[in-house]
Amino acid sequence: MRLVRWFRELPRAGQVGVLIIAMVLLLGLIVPAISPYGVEGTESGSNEAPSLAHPFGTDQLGRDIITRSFAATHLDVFVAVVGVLVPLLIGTVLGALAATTDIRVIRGGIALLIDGINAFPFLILALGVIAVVGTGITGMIVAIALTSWARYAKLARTRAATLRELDFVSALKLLGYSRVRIVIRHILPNCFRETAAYGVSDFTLVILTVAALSFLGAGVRPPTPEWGSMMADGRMFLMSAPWLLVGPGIVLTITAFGVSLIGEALKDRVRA
Amino acid sequence: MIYRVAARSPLLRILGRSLFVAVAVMLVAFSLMRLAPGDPVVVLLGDNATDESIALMRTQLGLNGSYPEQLATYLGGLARGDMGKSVVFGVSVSRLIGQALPVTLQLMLVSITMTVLFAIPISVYVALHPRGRVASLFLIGSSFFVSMPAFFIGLLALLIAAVWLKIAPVAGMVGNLPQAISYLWLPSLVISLSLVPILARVLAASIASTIREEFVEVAIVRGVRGRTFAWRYLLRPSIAPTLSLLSYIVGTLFASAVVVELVFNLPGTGTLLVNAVAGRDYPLVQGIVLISGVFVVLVSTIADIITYKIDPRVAL
Repeated sequence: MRLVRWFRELPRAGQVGVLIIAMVLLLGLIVPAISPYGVEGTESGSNEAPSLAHPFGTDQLGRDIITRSFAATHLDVFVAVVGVLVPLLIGTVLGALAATTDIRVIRGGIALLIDGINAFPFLILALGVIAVVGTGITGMIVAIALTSWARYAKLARTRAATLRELDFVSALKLLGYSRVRIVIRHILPNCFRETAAYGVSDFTLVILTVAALSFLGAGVRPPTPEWGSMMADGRMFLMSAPWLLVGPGIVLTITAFGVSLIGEALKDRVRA
Repeated sequence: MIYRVAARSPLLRILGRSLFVAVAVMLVAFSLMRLAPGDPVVVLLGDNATDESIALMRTQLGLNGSYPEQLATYLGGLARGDMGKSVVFGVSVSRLIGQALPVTLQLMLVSITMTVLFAIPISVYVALHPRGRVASLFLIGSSFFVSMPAFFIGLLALLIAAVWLKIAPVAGMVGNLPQAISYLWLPSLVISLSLVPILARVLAASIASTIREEFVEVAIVRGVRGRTFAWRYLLRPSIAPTLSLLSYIVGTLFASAVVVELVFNLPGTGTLLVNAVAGRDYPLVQGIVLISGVFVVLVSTIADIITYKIDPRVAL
């Protein structure tokens, strides 16, 4: 019931976004399940143009592209969800810590890291980390976590610094609550509300980065279906078989579009 | 003492802050190679490498001694412009970057020019007609283009413009600007498509708030019209907030340059980085990552100074 109310109160664009994402996730379950072709099955001719039998065509190994495009949904969304949640958690805690601790080394150290990491273009630093820790799903999540937390930490630090000056915090101090309790019970939840709202709009960036990393050959490895790596295949056959690119590209764009609509709607609500 | 002087001069404070970030950027780039699980030298050379080759590689990568010693070696090298030697190409990293960077910078220059040229008319129109059909179309369209990955737009553009319409070269780049514009306009258009919405949105919001200022009303009453009105009363007072966006835009530019260079086969730092990652060329990866960070710091310092010059109230 709360979910229904939450949905009703969203702006129109946000509702559209929720419907898009629900549809993409649902199709991600249904299409591979009802498809007569396997995700890694190679039973058809290679690089066949879209037809009734293969609405998005087939790829260079004769695999059905619509099946693979939707089979990729859950992997991509999963990596992006983890890639948002882990840095969100780390970043908010470290940011709140930096703003509330009196130990200068910790405060200065976190500040140095926040500024240092945030200065880099996200994709480039993530590529750099992957070069060192290795490719694959784990490498990609590690890279995103190590580089993204600083954005959340910056938000949380600013928020926590404002909060600690507020009257209710002074009141809690007067009541004799310990500093640790004040931070954990009162300041952190407040910071999370702000970083979580940012996290939804960050989701678009992360899902596009996951695809870009795989497109560059630094993320999910074939034959696992993933939008970015499928589109890298499409690049090889751009002239002879452009449908290799278009199928996964459309599903990825629609997903990212849905998420960004939700993000916009939630941002407006936080501001209001 | 130093703090007092710095506190009094906002310019010094901007510079001090940039210096802090620049040091942080160098530390991050330094730590990057030390993130490796296990020994990066063994990863590079394989398990059956001889002890001598391991020792040689360790010296080459600057991995001898304790972390503070390594950091000193690294910073000392940077001071001399020495970023180590590429493991794959066998030449100095600074030389490789020196060859690739001009391509990326030219790509960025054309992209940012295009972005500004598109964004200004759109944002002025949207700010003046906030409830019109164009404004809502712009809002939806901008969400859509931001959601489209640059490599998807890039490959589609390549397919349409270069393969079907044949109005652009398929790949590569010959010479420099201005002749190279025939190679750069399409990749730049691709990059600007995802940047225009971001810039135009901030600019439109800024113009919309400028319009509500009294001096604009007065200008309208006085009958100021046309270009003077658009520039002096609408755009110029609205630029300051967009300048703080500049470092974000340059960062995004650098990142989209990576994928776009790969798509269009441009021999810039992005292509170099992708090859370096594939070949596990640690010094080269570290060098390019560092350059991208330093570049962003440099641009945001300049943006901060310009912002301060335009509107001293903004400087904290």
